[in-house]
Amino acid sequence: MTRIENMSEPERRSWANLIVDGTVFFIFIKTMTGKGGVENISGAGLVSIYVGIIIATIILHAIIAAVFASRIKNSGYESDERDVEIERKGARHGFWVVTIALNIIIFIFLMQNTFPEDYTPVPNVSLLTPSHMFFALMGTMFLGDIVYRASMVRDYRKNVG
Amino acid sequence: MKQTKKPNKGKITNHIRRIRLARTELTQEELGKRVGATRQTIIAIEAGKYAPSMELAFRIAREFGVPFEDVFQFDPDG
Repeated sequence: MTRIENMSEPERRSWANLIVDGTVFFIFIKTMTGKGGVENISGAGLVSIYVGIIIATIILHAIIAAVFASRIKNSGYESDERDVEIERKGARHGFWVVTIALNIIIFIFLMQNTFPEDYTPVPNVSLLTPSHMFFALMGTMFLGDIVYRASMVRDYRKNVG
Repeated sequence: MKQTKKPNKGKITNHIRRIRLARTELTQEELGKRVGATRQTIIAIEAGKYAPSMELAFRIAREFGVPFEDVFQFDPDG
């Protein structure tokens, strides 16, 4: 059997979710950044990027959910306790990444407001502009989701020897 | 204040593969279906890479028709 045939349905689904999230994140980065780092985008532009990213994510995840729901219906397969445990562990890892990243963002934001000239921990990134703050917050959201999916994929590969 | 020593995590080992092959003709997939688990979960349990819940462990022992402790063992120093 090939690697894909050897996977359970939840494992295939976690791969599909990881690929979709990674692709949307890549598109988001390409949209927001130029040669000089994060570009300054108008408020209306940020709203349209936000709405576009959210709609794309919802549609892609809905397609994945529909495809796997029909596959599960045909095969009669349901996830078991190990799938639930792997998903719970992945969600916990994603949660911690988001928590840590948000704390870093808050720290940098406070430091830059207190010492606007002296504190630039990341070159070309200033959380004082709406574009940079938007990029940091959306990036954190994506990063948490990607860690969540990647953790699931890793646990599936690790547990099945 | 006196502190109690933290015990080792220990390791749960099992003889599922040996019993499955010696006493039944069940494949991993068939065993999984009978106990409500996937083939991948049975593979992981047999390889000692996943410790099943009490419920699943009892289901497996019951499916084999042998006492629980014949299938699963706990090694406190593992």
